[in-house]
Amino acid sequence: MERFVYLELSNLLAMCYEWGEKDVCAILSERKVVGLSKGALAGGVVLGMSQSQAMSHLHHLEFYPRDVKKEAKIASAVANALDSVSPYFRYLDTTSAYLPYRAVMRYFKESIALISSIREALSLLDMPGGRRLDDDDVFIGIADGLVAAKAASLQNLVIPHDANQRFLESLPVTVLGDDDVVETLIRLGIGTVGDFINMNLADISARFGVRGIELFETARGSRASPPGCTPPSKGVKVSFTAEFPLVGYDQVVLSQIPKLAEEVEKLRNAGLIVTSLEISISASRSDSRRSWSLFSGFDERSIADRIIWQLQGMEEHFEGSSGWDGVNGWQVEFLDVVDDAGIQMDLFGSAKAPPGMTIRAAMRAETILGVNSVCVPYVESARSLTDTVGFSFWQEFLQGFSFRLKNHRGGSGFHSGPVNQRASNSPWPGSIPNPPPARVFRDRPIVEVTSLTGEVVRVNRRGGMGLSPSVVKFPWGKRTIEDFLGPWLVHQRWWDEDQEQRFARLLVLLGDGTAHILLTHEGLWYLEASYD
Amino acid sequence: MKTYSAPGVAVRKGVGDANEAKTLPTCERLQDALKDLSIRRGSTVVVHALPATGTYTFLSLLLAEPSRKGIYSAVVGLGDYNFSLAAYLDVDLSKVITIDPKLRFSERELARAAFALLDGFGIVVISGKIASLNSPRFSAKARQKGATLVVVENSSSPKDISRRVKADLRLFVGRSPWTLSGSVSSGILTEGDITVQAVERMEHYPNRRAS
Repeated sequence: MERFVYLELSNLLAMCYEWGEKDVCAILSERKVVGLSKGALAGGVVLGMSQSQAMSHLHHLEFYPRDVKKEAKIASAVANALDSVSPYFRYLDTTSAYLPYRAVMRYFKESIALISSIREALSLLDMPGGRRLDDDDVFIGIADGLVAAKAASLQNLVIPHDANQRFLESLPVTVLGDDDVVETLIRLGIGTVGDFINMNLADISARFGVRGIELFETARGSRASPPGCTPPSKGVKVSFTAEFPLVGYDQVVLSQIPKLAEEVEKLRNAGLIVTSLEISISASRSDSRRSWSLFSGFDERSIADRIIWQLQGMEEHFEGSSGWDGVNGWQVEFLDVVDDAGIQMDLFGSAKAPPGMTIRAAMRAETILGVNSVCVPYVESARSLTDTVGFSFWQEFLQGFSFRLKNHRGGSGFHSGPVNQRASNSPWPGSIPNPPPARVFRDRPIVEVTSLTGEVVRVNRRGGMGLSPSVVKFPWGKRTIEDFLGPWLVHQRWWDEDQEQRFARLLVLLGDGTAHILLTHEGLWYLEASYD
Repeated sequence: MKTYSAPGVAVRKGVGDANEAKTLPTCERLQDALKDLSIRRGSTVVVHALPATGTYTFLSLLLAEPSRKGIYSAVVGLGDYNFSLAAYLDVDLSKVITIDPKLRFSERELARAAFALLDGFGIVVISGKIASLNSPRFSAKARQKGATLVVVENSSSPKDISRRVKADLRLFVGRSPWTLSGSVSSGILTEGDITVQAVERMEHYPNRRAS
């Protein structure tokens, strides 16, 4: 699993709003606590609480609205300082960031050297009110996986590789997230990550669906969160260039939302979401480049928000609002793109990921029938009717594996193994033209095709019939043939002795108005399919 | 498509928007066949199938519009159903799940799976044999969850038609004979019209006469 350095600046907002040691204050945004002073933190209030919950802990808590410009200015200063340590920092919000460990260790060699550099760079920052960030304000953790790294940062720990799993198992289950699944786990008495990974995976799948499996994989250490960083050169880019420097930029950024939405939608249609992106901004007197992460996935509006935050930071920090000459352009590059199973849940009627209840119902069916029993059908070209429909495993379909599964398609009965290479756009001479028959019989019941005199009709090697077919004897009775088409010979995979197929097909229209496809092989007739 | 008889209905159209939300969206071809009939969500619909009488075509048409509107469907216990036909009739197969036909399961196991699928799928299609294991519970769950339960009753002759599953709507599908088409490029067969006879719960069955 990838190793991360996690950085948390606990006191940054307090400095930003110029709170003192004794102030008991909180920042509110959308009725949630998003920032706290040291006094409020000591009083038991935590980030994410609702206003009323926070009030119940500290009745004299003072609330302030969020000042995005103020935060952007200080965050910009911090980002600038961190850039001097490494250009690979990714920012989660104003106070937290992470760094892929491998990206910097070639240079720093030792973890201690990296931590010292970060602390030193931050300690040199001039904060509002002449204050400085000291060691108590900076929390740094290093561990495998972001969940463990974040937990390690709370105690300023560096977790060695071999102790990572033990460390993760000792943590409370709340480190995995703060959603309903985690709340339910706590109610069920599953307090630690160790308790959780001792549960049966089938039970977790049945009870919690994809989200449960995702948490289980994270807890087991088999899922890195966030996933490995992909090279920026492969990312999607959305750029904007102004004809002249724009002093007011909010409206212009918002006007670019449809352009961003188009790229986000393209990814969504492929079952993907972007979790990390890099925003490069060019202003008249300075440039800024910063990577942002949002593990629940960026949408067009959250991307626009980041562009505005970054611009506000530039305006306030680098140039000062009086000296701001405007922005020349920006570019957004998608860095990490992951499949969106279990993250992007939509209601019925959406063309996107299946709703949670649908996923859970399918998983329950799979628990009953066994792993990989539930499938999603897809159509492909083939001569054999059983091969024209393939089946993708539901679980893999859900996880965005839209490619067709090898070795998983209907067997035709005349060959022992499946064909692995299929040209989907080829004309496939010998295949059944449209309309496709409604019923395809996998076990192919044997039928008898006879002439008027009762003799069995045979097809020779050159595709000729000595007698005209007049009667078909099905398992459910005899029917007369009104008309027929064929026979046409099919000879395929002649290059492979085990998979070679050679048979002839005959389309018959019966006296009762029904149509069937019969197949003959080595003198016997089979019912291959019926039109309906 | 033509409808030569529609003595019973589940929901009459034109009553208002509220009813539309409660009914299953249907494609134009199916609307032609059903005329003023629409299928209520949460109802149990039994489709009676004689061999090659258009039942599976009807079933594909039934899944087409809901799949395009993002409603997920599950097809359980119809091992011979050709999904190529569904795709040909514009069913979005990414909204359809089924049980791997290569795996063998008992009807009881399939019934349990189908029962679980009613929790989260808008349409669950099952065979008559599966439904008959506990049809009242299937219907009750479909009603509770707002899912449409479609039961395909296969029978080899009109005498064998089973009425063991209690249905809100019973459909008898028929079609005019297939004919050979003039050329392969236009399709080897010319499709005939599909006709639908519908009988609502508590109504007399078609062709039943008092004596």
